[in-house]
Amino acid sequence: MPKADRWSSDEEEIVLLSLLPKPISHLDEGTYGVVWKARDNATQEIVAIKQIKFDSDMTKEGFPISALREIGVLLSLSHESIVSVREMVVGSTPDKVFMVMDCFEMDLQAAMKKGPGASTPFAQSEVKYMMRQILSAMAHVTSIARKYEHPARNMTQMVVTLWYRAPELLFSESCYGPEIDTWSIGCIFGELLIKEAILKGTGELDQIQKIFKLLGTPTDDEYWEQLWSKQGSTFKWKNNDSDLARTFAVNSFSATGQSYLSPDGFDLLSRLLSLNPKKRITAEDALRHSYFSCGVTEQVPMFYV
Amino acid sequence: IISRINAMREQEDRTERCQNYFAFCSNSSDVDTSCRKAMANWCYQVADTLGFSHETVSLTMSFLDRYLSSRRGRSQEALDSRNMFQLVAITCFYTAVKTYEPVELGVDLLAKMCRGFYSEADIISMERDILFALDWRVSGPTPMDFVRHLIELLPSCESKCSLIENAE
Repeated sequence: MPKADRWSSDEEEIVLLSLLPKPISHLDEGTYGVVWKARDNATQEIVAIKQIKFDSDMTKEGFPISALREIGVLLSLSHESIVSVREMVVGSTPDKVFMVMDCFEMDLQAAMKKGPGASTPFAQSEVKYMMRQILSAMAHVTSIARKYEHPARNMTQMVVTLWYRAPELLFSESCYGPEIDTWSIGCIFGELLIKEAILKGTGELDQIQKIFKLLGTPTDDEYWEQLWSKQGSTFKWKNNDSDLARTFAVNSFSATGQSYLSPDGFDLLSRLLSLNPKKRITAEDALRHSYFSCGVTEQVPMFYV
Repeated sequence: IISRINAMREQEDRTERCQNYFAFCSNSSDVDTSCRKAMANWCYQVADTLGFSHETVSLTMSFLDRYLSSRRGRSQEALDSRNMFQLVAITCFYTAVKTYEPVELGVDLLAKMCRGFYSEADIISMERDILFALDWRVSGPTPMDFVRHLIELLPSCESKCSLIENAE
């Protein structure tokens, strides 16, 4: 089916315009643009529509690099746990470009905060289910996406939301790979367990301090010694021991509202949150971890009761 | 590795197939295969001068071939006039740099390299036309992606690295 062509003539643009002005709700303001929930007049299906955000002087450098790469990658992926881009459509002016995507009831954030049973922790079977979804999606991306050898300039700094940003990125390591994503997954794992972001830094420095407080300062670590000496850093970090085991209690039904965590689960968590990116577990290996093969069976979370 | 190769093949299958688009040229057209060759050479020269990867040129040619095969947008114009063909090739290069290179190639610099033959606005509006005709499929695997994986499958030997270097 010729997709973009459907929207190219003036007459068909009316379809697009009538599709857009009645958004059911304003969903989210993503990094690259506003997301709307809308109904497709042709199929009556509910879709999510994301308008690509252009710089004010978009005519200067054409289509934004970050959006171009995001769309390119999303289109080349096909995985049940990754949102798929159905088509791209244009409006009347060059700065009106939209991605039409599958629409979901809620994102993880909403599921944790607003879903039914928001006040109780997830069952460990549910956490396991979600972790497998996230990790297998990540493994798919890693296997398909071209290596991140060429991050666009200026993208390195803002590439991951602060709370989920790997420590090496906070020290402006500019050459990075899929390890930065497994770190983020580790943060999400912790968040699923306590239903709250685990490293809520108020700024980059505070983020580093929070990371070292939770996981200990990397003393005697080859990677960090090299990185710091390469950067000529003279800053001394306070020595801390890891607080991870105390923060995420194993084998206990705590009163603090943490999901039950098996020793296997704790081991996986600490491997995902390895300060040394070279020692951090990959998504593929994480899926082979005993956390998934032993213990409780996975279960679809009860978001829609 | 085999599963990755399969994944890349699936990725390729999702993009439009190329055809012998020169057959679509009108009778009076001055576009022929030498134009494609000339533009490929131009891309290699610019890439070498600016220190870009040759894979950027692979991507450029993939965009160009798919655009001209698509029969969408202004692709027919590009098959009927050398001027347009050249603009399409230059713009494909501009977009390929965006998707692949860590640095940006400013549209102003590119326009300068064309010695004012095309304006910045020409390039930007052509980029839009190309992206739509390609359905935004701009991150498919390059030939080198396949080569790297295939070499990886060879029994390990010292010459592996030099094989990859030679291939690049």
